[in-house]
Amino acid sequence: MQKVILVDQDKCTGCRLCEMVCSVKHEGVSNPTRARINVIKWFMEGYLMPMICQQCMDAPCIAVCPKDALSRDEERGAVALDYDLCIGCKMCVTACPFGGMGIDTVSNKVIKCDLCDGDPQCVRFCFPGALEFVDANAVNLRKKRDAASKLAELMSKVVAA
Amino acid sequence: MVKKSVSDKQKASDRIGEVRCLNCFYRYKVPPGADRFVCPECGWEWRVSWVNPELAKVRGPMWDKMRF
Amino acid sequence: MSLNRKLGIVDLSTNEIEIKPIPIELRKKFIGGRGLDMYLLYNHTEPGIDALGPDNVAIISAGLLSATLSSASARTHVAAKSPLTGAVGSTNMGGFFAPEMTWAGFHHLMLRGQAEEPVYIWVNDGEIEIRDASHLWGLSTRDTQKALQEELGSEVQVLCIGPAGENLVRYATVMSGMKNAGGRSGLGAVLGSKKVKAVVARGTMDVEIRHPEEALEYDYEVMKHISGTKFAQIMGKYGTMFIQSVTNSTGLVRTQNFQHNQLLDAEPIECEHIEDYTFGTVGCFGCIIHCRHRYIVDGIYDEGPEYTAQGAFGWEVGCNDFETVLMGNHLVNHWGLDILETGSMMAWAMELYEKGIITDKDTGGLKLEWGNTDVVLELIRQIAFREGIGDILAEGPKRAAAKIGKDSLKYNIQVKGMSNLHSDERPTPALALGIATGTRGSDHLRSRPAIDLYHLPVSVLEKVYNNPVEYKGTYTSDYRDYEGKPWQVIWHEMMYMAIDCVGVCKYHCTFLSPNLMKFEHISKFLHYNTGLELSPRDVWDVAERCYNIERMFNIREKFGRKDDMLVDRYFDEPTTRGLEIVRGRTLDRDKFNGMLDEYYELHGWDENGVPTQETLERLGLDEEPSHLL
Ligand code: SF4
Ligand code: SF4
Ligand code: SF4
Ligand SMILES: [Zn+2]
Repeated sequence: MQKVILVDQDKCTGCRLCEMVCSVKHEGVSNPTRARINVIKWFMEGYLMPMICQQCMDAPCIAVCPKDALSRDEERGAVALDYDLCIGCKMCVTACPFGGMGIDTVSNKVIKCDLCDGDPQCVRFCFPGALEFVDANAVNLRKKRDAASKLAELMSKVVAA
Repeated sequence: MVKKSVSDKQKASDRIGEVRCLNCFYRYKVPPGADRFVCPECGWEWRVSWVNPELAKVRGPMWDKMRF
Repeated sequence: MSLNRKLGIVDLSTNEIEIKPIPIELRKKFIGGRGLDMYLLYNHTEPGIDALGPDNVAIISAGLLSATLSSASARTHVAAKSPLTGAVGSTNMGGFFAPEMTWAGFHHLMLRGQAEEPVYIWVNDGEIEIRDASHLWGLSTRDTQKALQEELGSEVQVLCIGPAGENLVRYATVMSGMKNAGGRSGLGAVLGSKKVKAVVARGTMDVEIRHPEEALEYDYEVMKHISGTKFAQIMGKYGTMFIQSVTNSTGLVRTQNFQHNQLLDAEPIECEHIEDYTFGTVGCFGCIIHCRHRYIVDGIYDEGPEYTAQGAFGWEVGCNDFETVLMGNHLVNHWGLDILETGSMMAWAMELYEKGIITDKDTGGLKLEWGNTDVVLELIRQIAFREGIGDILAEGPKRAAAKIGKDSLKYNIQVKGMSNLHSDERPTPALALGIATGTRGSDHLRSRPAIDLYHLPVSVLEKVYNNPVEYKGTYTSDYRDYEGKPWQVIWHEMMYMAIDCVGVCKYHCTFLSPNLMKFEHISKFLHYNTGLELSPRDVWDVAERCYNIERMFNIREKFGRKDDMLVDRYFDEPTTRGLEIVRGRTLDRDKFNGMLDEYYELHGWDENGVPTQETLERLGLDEEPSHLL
């Protein structure tokens, strides 16, 4: 079944726990510069945005990879990286529009979210619920429902006033 | 994670809306959604707010009764 | 590995920089954070020095568990001799600075000497540099951070002072982010006196986790538990403002300086009103409680507010206006003032004005009347910039009272020259003993047994307080009693010291809820994250050692029993308001002294509060200062 990580930035509290657990899970160390997720902050405005690989359908990183080290794993709905094929040219880092491909400062290899093989730690530790791991085909419906309930709330205010 | 046993769940649901009277420390279960209660033990009246549908807290006294 | 983080020593007079490893022996004895800071402070200062002179040191630190999997390992600690009290200066703040400093390779940074021109310190991946900061001098805390982020990249974390610190206001803060304030003790003025505008950290170095898989699982388990408690849910929705619902409703707050113990008709400043101004909460690094709101007032963005903002700009000054609380909170953050001391000094000035001890002549025509919101906001500005009466109030309780003269000091509610929290401890002996004995002066974060207010059954008290060391006496559930309370105060002293040594937030330990972290959690977190093996009892012993070294610092500065005392008003003036159970109450002087005797005895201190030789030997402190670092 295809599942995706759904980000709801309104719920994010900017704690960066997701960054830490991602680096501990993958590298055994706490170091956000080696995490596959990063929370971008506009701290003077209080605006927060967790940024993560979108596991694109038509992925620019796959398109530019000269060695076919990147490919779509249709079963899991993920963009998979094969380190045996990767030559470390970092074309994918340039191509990704979201910063989803990173460079590990220690190994000098490219890194990307691998959905923790189906048990995403960032999601598990995001207690405020800004990150959720949901069925791909439920995403669309979920977003519609959220938008609808916001609308409904607004409408009720208008009606009440 | 350890799964919650039935009795744990029971215990948790028993505490829905539970607040403590600040005057006599009696534990009282506020009915869902209520915005005030009179303590059955000491008769003091409190305003209540809801943190979420299961969790109530004392919000404050009836200020008109706080006169000395 | 956390244990390989270093100490950086920066001499601002000579521009010399030294980097030293921290010996494992010291880790075992003091762990890190506040504890190791206190060791360094005791070892690197001489008694009687001028807190605002070149001989004072400012130590900025991360706890040993900083940036590890240990539930909000976010806290930064700063230590120096306090320019407010002359006792140990110690202050602790949340945010992201300490983890960044840890990733940059350092746990402790000691600044000594004095720079001639404004500087900032750049800490980056194992290196330290002193840099020119003349372009930053005069800027507010947020503008300083903005400028430094533009200069060095948006990932840097900044700890800085505002105009109040530059102007040597004796209760100026160090700030990081919008609202993380190291408020108590006036350490912003110490940085100001050294002409250090900011310390900027950026790090990309690994913090090795000793047992990564287990650390993840254990941290998850603890966080899951914490997030499920009533406390965390209430706190995550309202922040510390929820405390007002208990204390003001009962009659346990200090109103109009000390004239009343409850603000009447307080509905407008109840925490629930934050919902009209907030667009969500934020947390410190790794925190799942997220106790701060992101709010907008008058088109200005800020974070918080906390209980102390309601106190400072609400009940203390007789204001019943939520926007004044929000704006006051913003102004103190912006200019870098301790919110608590600011509110208390203003309330004191208002009582003096009411009593005719100061008049329009002293205030420059400012009518210091209760509930005058414009005056409150203007006074904040005058204190930060040392204008008008603000110049006197900026000196803190004792010096300001000496300047004003008459019997002004007797109206000031302080201990060791530091103002009390805006709470009224007359009905609560346990809390009263805590603020009287706190090492950094009147203080609710050294030892406050806040859960004493919850009327917990004795069985619960026994379970909490007889661990890891047993108390032979008895406990009582009634917060108005005197029995068992000295031990509760000591237990919390150790709890808060331990949590400050590892750099985890106090709200995650047994402070406002009996169900949160205790000594065994710290022991396990140390094991999984760092491999430092300390039993819960060992953690307690470290805390006791650290607390004693703070006490020794104060003794060396000539503090003693006479300074562990509340002002007379606690014993002479009965409370006027609140529920019947707290009305008409004073503290009993004899019983209070009895508590103090027991407190000293349990600590192994003599009747003047000085640690005995036996106690020093037991704790391995008989050779201090030992100059191992
Ligand atoms: S763990 Fe969740 S709340 Fe915290 S920063 Fe990451 S996305 Fe935001
Ligand atoms: S799913 Fe796993 S790999 Fe991807 S960002 Fe989250 S923690 Fe990192
Ligand atoms: S509880 Fe509040 S102060 Fe403590 S770490 Fe969390 S957000 Fe920061
Ligand atoms: Zn009652």
